[in-house]
Amino acid sequence: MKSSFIFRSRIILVCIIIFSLVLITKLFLVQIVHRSAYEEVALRQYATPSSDIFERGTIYFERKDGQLISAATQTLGYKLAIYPAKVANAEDTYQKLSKIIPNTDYTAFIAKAAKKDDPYEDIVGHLSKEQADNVSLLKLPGVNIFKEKWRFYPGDQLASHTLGIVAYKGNDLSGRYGLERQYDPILTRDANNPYVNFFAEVFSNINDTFFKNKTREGDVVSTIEPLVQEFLDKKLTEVKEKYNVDSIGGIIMNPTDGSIYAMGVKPDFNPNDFSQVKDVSVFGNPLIEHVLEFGSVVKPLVMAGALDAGVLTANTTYNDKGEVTIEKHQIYNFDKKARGPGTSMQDVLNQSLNTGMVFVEEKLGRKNLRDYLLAYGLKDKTGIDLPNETSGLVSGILNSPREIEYANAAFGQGIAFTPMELIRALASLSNGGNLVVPHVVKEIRYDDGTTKEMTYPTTPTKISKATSQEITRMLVTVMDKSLKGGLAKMDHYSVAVKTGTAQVADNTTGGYYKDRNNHSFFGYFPAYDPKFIVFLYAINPKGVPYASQTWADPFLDITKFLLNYYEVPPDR
Amino acid sequence: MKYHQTGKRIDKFFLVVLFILISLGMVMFVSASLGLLVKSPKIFYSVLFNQIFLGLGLGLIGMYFTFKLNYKFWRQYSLYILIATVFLTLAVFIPHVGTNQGTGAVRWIRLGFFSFQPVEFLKFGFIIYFAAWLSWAKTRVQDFKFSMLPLVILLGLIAVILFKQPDTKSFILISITGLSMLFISGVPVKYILGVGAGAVVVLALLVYSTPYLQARVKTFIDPSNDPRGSAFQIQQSLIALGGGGIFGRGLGQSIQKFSYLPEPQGDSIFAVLGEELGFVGVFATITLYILFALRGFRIANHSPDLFSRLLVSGIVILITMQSFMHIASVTGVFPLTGVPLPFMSHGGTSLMIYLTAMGVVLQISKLQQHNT
Repeated sequence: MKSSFIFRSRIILVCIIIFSLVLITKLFLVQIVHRSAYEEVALRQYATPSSDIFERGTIYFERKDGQLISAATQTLGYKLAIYPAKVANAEDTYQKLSKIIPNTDYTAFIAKAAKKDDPYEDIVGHLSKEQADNVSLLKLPGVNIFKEKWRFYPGDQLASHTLGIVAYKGNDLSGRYGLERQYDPILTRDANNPYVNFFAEVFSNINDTFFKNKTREGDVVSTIEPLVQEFLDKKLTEVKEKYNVDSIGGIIMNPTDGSIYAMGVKPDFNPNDFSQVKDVSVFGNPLIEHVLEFGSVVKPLVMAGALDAGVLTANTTYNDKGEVTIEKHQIYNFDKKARGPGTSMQDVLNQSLNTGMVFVEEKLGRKNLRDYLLAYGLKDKTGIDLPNETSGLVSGILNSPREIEYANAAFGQGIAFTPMELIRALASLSNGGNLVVPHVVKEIRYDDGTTKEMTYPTTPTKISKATSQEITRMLVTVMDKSLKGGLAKMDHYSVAVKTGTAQVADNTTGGYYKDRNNHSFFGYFPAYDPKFIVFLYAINPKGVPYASQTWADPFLDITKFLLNYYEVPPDR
Repeated sequence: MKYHQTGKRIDKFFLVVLFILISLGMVMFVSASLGLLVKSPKIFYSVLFNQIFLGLGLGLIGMYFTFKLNYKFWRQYSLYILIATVFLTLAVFIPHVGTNQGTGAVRWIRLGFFSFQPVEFLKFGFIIYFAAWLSWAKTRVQDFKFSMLPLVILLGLIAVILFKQPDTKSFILISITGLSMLFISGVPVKYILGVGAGAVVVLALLVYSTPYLQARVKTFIDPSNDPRGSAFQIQQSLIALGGGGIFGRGLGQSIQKFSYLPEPQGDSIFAVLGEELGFVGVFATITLYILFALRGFRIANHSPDLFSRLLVSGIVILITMQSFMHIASVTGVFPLTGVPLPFMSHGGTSLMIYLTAMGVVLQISKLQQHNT
């Protein structure tokens, strides 16, 4: 009796164990064999709510009166998604939807509607409230409207290179260029979404608080002044179109603290619609990522070095023969004409005489030339708060035994730097000989209510305050006497300027193009207490030989605009 | 002094397995309930209170009580216990007492601030009575009218009540337990097969005539057929289990329990376990239930008399089968939903009853005879 009992209970036990083996097999299939398939479904399922409520800090422009203008912000709208299994008639559904949302892709829609196994498919985003309401009114089966947030740039192209974009890289949505990338940790908002693992978030918050120095979240206030930026963009566009320029750029900066009021490059892009950009190199910022030989705008840097070293003064003269031969290389003035004996250093700057700069270089000596130029930070990154900055190529004057390298460097050829490095070096001429750190962010306003003002140290160059004043005086003379033959002179404002027409290195031959120039221009004002430094350049303008012709008027327009807009009092 | 204790030792192995199951159950319950915390902290705390104080607290007290109470008590009063639990189950049909808790089925009784499913009592009422009957019938179980007939009558009675609610899965569980007890007690196999076949036919007819069961079966045949409808639950628990993989997301880290799994702390708790602890955790949990069954049967085999043998067997089969049916429903092996997982799922009263029943098993384990 009892043995039968034991036997029969063992049969039950065997049944139970068989049952458990069936369960374990099923679980093995689900959790290990087909794991990736379920994970994929899971990810798609979780991706929906998290992308719907994607939050991100705002980037502001600041008007001169302190008013904040949104430059990059989140906007709320709608998106359309379908539950494929519930879509009754895909063809008919598409026809009805396309009347409201014309940019719906037919083939993509039909393909998605056919995925009956998928619980959810996104169709189209960035819908207006009106569109969303109209779709809802149709009451199409399987068609759903969800709220959605996305990144919006109210200024479209305005300062696009400075702002950058937010884009997906794999599954990771984050800032990809410009400030969006530079300040991504501050702008990024944790997905504090109750639908997605709350418990995990509690733990990760504890973890962050106690074990990690987590970046605080906040908004970014840029130094960019929207009206100044707009004006600069307008001028750049005008010049670009007038001379069919390949690439054009400009920077307007405060020369004493490095705040950038505007900086721009054309061609640019619309960050609201960046998927239309065919050439991704457009996203890069040439102002800090590309180096160029700028030519004559470098002359004041060398001249200031020579003044500072005491090897000459503004009145020192030399005999200008129109050309000079260095190690079998001929160096000419731009017009190949001789000015004769008694040509002064002021004339060298006024008329941008290359032969005169060779004279200056010989007076200064190789070591001094190198030391002064490197002290302007032309070999170093400026430390600007934008990603991907590069630094200048000045190997020619570092240790070359060839005199020609030094002679060329004296008028800005053979050495190349970024526009940002150059404007910073030029600013040091204006501000008593200090290198500032150019920057585009004024302050960070943290979500906890505190504000962090961004301050940057300045570092001295080799030139003294007195030299700074003397070279400024010489550059003001260039403006008053030479630019547009003296017609550009502004009676009540002292403006220091210098033009630069540079030859373009031809990488294929190692020489220079005969028919190509880069035109650059810089100026600062009011010259003895500078509030603004403006640097402009154009790569390969057509049908115009000299930078003074390309840039004099646009520069004067910008100067008058800034003096007017900022109500700068006359200084003479 | 009729009911006296012998001085033997309690089955420690069984006790340890039970303790691990209860502990794991509490941990998983709290973790799974966090899904509720997000939706409504008030409900979360009430559920937590219900489980810990009513379930665990009262359950442990009940366990101690039944551990001390001689098991022969149950045999003596088995008929009254059955009648009491049948009436308790019938009480769900009394207006204002029975409630459907917002679902389609009237399975709950509400008493003031808490509610429970009386069918949990009925399950044990049935086991106690049937064990008492079979031990009274002894060798007469070979005779149809002392074995099959009473079971069929009993199940028929229970079927009437449970199909009215409706609560098919509890009926299936009770039937399986009853048939197993009958089988163990030595009834000819042909009877079992006969009743088993009959039950399948009845079930098939039932499915055919009941729309909600039909939907379940359709879901079972093709779980992806309607992801937002009746297949939603199974699809979501498979996503949870698949997302867990081998080692799981880690305790507390289930994503599915927030807004995707219906009743993560109840009918889907094993999916949460699978997501958080992975295949490793799932395997370990099933192993625990197997150990529970193995040791339970060992206690039954060595227990002092036929009644205690059948009683322990019945309890062990019920709990093990219910656990596996829960797992089977979560993994889509069976076309069922809404089977709670013993020791883990939400339900203060059911946890209390399971623990009380464990007291009976533990007491009988003290009386094991190992001389055979």
